[in-house]
Amino acid sequence: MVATESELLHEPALSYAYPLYRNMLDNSVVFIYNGPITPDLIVDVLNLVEYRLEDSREDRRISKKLFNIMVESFTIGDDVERGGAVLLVRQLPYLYAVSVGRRVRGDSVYAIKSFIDWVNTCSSEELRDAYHHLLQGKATHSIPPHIGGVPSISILDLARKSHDFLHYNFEYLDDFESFFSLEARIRKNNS
Amino acid sequence: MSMTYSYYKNMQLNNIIFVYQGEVTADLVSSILQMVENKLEGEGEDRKVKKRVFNVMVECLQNVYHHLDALPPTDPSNPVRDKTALLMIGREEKDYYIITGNHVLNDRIPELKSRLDRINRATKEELKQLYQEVLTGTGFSEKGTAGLGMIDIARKSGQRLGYDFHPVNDRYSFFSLEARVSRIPEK
Amino acid sequence: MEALRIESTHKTPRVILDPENGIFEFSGRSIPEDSVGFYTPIFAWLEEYSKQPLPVTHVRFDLEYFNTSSSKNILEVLKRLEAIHAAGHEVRVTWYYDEDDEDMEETGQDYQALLNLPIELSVKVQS
Repeated sequence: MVATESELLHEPALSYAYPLYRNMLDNSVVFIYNGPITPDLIVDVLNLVEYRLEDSREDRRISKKLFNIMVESFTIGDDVERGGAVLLVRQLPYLYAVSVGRRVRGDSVYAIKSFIDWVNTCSSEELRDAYHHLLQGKATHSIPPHIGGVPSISILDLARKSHDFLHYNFEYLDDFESFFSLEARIRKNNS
Repeated sequence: MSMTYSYYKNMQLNNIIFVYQGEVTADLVSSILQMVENKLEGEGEDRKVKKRVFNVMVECLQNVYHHLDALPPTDPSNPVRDKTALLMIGREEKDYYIITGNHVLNDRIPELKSRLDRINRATKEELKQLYQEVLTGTGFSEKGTAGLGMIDIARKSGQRLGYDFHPVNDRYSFFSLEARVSRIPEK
Repeated sequence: MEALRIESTHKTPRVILDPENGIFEFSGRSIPEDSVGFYTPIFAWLEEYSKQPLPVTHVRFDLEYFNTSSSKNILEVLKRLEAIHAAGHEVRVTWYYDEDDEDMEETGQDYQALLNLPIELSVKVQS
């Protein structure tokens, strides 16, 4: 039997369902969103996660932290016009991980990378001081308010809240753009 | 390749907006519906289309939610040992699609397939009739309202249902069900 | 001078600036679409209030969560209160936080460190 056009169109997403499910299960991914990020969407996603946490009877301290980190993480995916941003949350027995991914200009990759590398070497006092400077709009530490479209204060905020290294990755897309992903983790045993 | 990027690539490729994996509870279902409703609202989708997507989505989520109860979660050959499912929504140029996925016992597959095929062969009028038959207990019989949900999804979607059974082990398969809603408003 | 009242939404806080009794309140969430747009009328109102403030103003911050772009605007609000306080009109700020929310407590400490303004950190009583 020859497949009709509509059947051919049906196929990709439907046949991707199981591999995607399996992959999410293996990586403990709870949900993935792809599209523009608006405050409404953030509120809806937080709601969803709240129910999920209630169902898994999560400690309130951890839940609060996860919420605070999600709110700020999602800000990084704000203002992305083409392709939107990707948000995902992973729930493992010992940690939660909040990831955001978006396109950035290829020529800003080095600057973003160096900034996060620097943030990852900072003590909590250094992070606090840098955060205070940025909050007051002071340009010290030679940190500009945005690095390649990414708000530097958001990265500092995530580093402070997660009490852990920020994990990142850059994927080359073409001569103009790269895909930047950033993951902030919340460990259940130390915060 | 980073995990986030590979998801991004696949979601872009398949026009997926949102996907959830995990336990499905009533509260969770309502929060997912809320998100989709706001999203359709925010994007200025046609009112009728919006309503149809929402209604089909409600049925799909209800269907998977009730379906899961039929599975023995403690069964040693159950691949995930709990009531986890997949929910996915995508938007293509012409259609929205909603895919739900969950494990089913292999011996239920022939019956599910024959129901789905019967639904897909039916005309609008026949679907209505089938719906009433199942409602009054004369059609599809034994498994209660399980068949009703699928008929309802088909009626609300106005398109054929897509499905796929992916073998998992000797006893279980992963059943994915796809419902589509046209983005072109009916006259 | 008229009171400023903004009802909360699921993404913006409830704001009450009552010049009659000198009681100000910011409560709820703050992740507005346009945070400058949201806070600008508040700055203008505070500017006006600072011309003839009451001898004592009580300010209550009881926020659930907010993003860093709101943090900057909240700092601006506090700076205006700091100026009123510096001019000899007492301003007492209470920063409420949920005892399980160490980030909200830390944010309160950030503001304490950045301003010459009495900010009292207070654990919210669970409802």
